[in-house]
Amino acid sequence: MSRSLRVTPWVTLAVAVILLIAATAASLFWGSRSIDPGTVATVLGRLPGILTGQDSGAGADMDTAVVLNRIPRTVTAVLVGAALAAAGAGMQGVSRNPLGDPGLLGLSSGAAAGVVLALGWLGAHSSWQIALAALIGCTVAAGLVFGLSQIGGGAPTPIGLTLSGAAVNAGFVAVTSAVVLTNQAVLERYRYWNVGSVSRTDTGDLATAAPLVLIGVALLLAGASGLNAMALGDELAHGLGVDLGVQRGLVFVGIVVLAGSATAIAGPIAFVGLLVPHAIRRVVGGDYRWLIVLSLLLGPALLLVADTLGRVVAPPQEIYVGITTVVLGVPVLLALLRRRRGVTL
Amino acid sequence: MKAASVQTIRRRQSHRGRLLLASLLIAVLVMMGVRVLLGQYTVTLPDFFRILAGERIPGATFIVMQDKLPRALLGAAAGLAFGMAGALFRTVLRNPLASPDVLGINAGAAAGAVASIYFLGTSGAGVAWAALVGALVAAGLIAAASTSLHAGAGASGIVGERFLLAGIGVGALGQAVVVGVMARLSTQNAQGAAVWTAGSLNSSTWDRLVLVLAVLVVAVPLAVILHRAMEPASLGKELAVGLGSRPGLIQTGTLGVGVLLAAVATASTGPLSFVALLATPIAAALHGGRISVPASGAVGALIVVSADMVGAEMFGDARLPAGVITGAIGAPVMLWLLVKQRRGAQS
Repeated sequence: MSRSLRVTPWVTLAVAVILLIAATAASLFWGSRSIDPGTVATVLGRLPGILTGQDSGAGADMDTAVVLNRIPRTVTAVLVGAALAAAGAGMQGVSRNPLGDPGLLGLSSGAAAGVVLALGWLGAHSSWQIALAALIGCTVAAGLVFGLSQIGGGAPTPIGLTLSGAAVNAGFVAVTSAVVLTNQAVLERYRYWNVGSVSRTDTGDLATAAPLVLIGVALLLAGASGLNAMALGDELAHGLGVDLGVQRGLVFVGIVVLAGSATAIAGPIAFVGLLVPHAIRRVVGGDYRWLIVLSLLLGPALLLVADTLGRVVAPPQEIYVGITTVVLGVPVLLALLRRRRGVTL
Repeated sequence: MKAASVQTIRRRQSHRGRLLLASLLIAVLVMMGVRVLLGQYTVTLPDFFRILAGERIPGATFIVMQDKLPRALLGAAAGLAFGMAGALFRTVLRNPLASPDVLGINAGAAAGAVASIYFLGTSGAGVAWAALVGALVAAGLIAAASTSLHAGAGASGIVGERFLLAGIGVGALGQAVVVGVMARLSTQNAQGAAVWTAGSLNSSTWDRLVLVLAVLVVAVPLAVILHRAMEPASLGKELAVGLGSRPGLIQTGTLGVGVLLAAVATASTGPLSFVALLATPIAAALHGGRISVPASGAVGALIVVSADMVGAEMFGDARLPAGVITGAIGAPVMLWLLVKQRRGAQS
């Protein structure tokens, strides 16, 4: 990492906060319908009243309705971006593998299979049932990918892990299509859910996901010092008195909770978990405490920018954020691969 | 190895190869027969020949001529194309995981096809062309990404795992296009598109069959010739050049034919996942570890026709498309190949 430009973490933190505020503002003020910034500001001013129920939001013209629609969308993007970026940082740490990403390693499609099975077979409908199904699917997928990559002994190579991720991914896609193709109603829900988007959530979804994301973040932060020790190698970490099993367990559960709840409300969104921690590592180095905290700020910033871009590129059509992130992410993935030694942890 | 012993081994191998190919072809024909004659709607053998001869049997003629027969034939043709594409990719790239489905070629073809259906309203042969364009774009992207990745390792002609990752990235891109288009379709069209993107033989028509066969007539001899021509290249680049072969050109040509086969098969059946990945190692195991293009194609045909039979008949009214079956079987096999490769690398 000799070529990285190092800045002190506190400066980076300040920059990240500014970026997040700017991205949030962009997401609120820009969209496929151009609205006078004054109107947006007025609606935002009315927001406390609407939330407490004093202002019914009535008298809403089209512009006001659009702005009121952008608010949950922005909140969702913040929540999902934070969850995915932090999950990515955790995965990269626990697998000591630079290519950790919930989408790339099949966790998202595991969650998708869980959701589809719950919708199709168990008749799930409420937000928390879907979130639970996503969590279970995610756990199975994560267990499979990490378990299988351990077979044969030794630490799994980045590429081996990614390929097992691709295989697990394909297996869950087969399960998902088996359900979807035999159930028209589930297909209708699934095909919109399956293209990752932050624009469909209601308050029930957010109320379910927010506490889960908080729990996941707490678990990851609790395991962050353990991740730092693991980065030194298992033997050395053991010598430092770190209980690797416990720490790994904390991080693993944290990753699954974060990836599962994010996928449950937004659908599969790839590459946020891959890109954000890498960008941060370039700047502040490999301390997982900073990596996770900064991921929580910059993940939302990236997702907000991607979502806003998707809204303004070809109005009145919107490009789903799940597609924008792939389009932005693939070149970065290829660039990461180009640097033979550049992606060490 | 002495020249004489090489010749003996060669002769034994080619004899064994012919025997294997013959038995595989018989197996494919038997499976196609089973597909056409048995199942929820059975047709007796005499009836089948009477239908072929042009006699009209109420009900049976329609089912055989419009569904079962084109289905079995298209399944075999597409499986052949996928299997051969897998063998060609594997021969050039020399990695058991380097098959067109893992590398995102199928996803590229699917993206091209779905996008052309949605944006341009194409149908029939136009979809096949769009699939070919999509597959070529995917192949071009991977090549562009990995030639720069491979300044060092590319010289030996062995394609490493970075190439696979470039393929997975490109596959994600193609998949994103498919998923994005899916979300924009109307409800009626979405059901059809979902079946197509899972990979199925449900809409097998004689038109599609003619299209695939037209490509196969050109591509099969080319594939066999190119695979032969690849043999010097497998000795290593220096030796191959010394023997007067031009490995770069042949490799590119071989991959091109592989892309063509995968694209036309994808256009006719959708991206049947893992057929190419599965067919090549199975055929190689039957062929004493050597990669054989025709045997791989025959195994591919066998897989697709059987998967279609299993999906359509074994799940009651569910009638799952063949791609779901191949995906469900292929995923564990791919994991097994990975574990095997890891073990091999360590020992």
